[in-house]
Amino acid sequence: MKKKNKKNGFAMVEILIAAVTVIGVFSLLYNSVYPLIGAYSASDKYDDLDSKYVAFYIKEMLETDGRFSIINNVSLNSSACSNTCHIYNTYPYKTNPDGTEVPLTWGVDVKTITDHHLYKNELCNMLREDSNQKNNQFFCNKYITGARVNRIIVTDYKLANFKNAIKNSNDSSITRSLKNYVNYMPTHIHANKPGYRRVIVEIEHDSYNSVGEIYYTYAEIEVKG
Amino acid sequence: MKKLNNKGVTLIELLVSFSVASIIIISMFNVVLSYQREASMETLKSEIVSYKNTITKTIQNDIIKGNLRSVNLVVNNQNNKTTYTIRLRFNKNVNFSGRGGEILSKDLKIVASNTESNSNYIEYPDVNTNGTLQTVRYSLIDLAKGCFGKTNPVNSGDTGTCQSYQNVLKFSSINTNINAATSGDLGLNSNNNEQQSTEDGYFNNARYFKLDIALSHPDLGGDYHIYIVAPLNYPYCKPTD
Repeated sequence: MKKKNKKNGFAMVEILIAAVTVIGVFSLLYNSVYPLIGAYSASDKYDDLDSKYVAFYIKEMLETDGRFSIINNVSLNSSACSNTCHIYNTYPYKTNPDGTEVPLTWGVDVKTITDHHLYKNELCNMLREDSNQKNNQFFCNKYITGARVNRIIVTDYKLANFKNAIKNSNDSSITRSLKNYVNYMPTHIHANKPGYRRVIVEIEHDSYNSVGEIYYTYAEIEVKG
Repeated sequence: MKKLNNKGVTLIELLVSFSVASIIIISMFNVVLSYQREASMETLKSEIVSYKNTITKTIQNDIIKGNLRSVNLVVNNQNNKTTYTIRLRFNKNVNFSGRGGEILSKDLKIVASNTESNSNYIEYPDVNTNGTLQTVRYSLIDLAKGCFGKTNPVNSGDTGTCQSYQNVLKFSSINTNINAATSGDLGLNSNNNEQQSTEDGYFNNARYFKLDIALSHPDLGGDYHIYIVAPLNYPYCKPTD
């Protein structure tokens, strides 16, 4: 009579193969999920309410100037974003007694932002300037100083080309935080609003956690030309 | 001869398996506790964001629709509390209830204390259905009971106190561009005319109001601010050529 050879249990090789498979699957899952945690934490600084209001006031200044279509006349020719946007920086300046303006260098001439320094933004300088209260240029420059707007970026309504350009840009002015924000933005491939453009504002803040450190918040808004 | 029954487990096997299970449970316990704490922290962060958004939206709504005209600051230090009272004056009526009279000013009050846990709050009036102002208090102690990390927070609401002060959410700094020492309003002088601004050394009609209130908690990793920057007397209408 043949002996029945019952083999209960698993062989060593079977266990090893199963363990390696399970570890591989969990590693893949971990690598997919872990970057999302960082992206979620960073999104606190994207399109937060305070920054959206700053963008709103800038939009008001750009739209209510009334003299000509400022936004549509902006040439999207900044090389940093491969001609898909125009980046307006804010620079500090001082006024000499004879009325001439001298640009100052951030970090050299100006170390801290204080109210008695004025910051000019080339976009604001395109606005109306006259002696009565409808003085958008002054409002714009003053407001941008107070709100600590570091940069204003004007781009097309549809963002696919702009997003691609920023992602592939090696220019030093395209910081990591800006890249992350632009990456986070939706592409709006199906949206279509003739005569509209998008304005992105970058606002500087002092960090509570470390003295001297700054961080940026971002907001985006549609502006009618 | 009967064969012995080899089913079951021996004592040593039992002891070893219990030891291994205990080690696993103890190590998982710490992991679970840390995730619980993380979840509580996220709840607090979410409540802080809602808190600051509510206040920002309420004030900015009045500023935009009422067209902010001027601001005035009074600072009072008393009984370990600092009270900032900012009077906001508007060009237009901010009574949107459809009843009652015109409301052209509102007082924003910020109270901060380093020693009293229930004395960190903001008060800003709302217009009720009768068209009159009623003060609304936005107190920090109501956020995650305001006593995150401590056991047995006593009572909810403004009269509650925490067991120990150190882990309480509070206003760590309040900055504004209004100089409390100036006699007039920013944007308005005593003759109700537009004030010539000297804040930047030269005159122009463009001014802005800035308020930055920082919220801090030792366990918070980020920066939470109520940050309001708004132009004064901004002409929202398009000028005619």
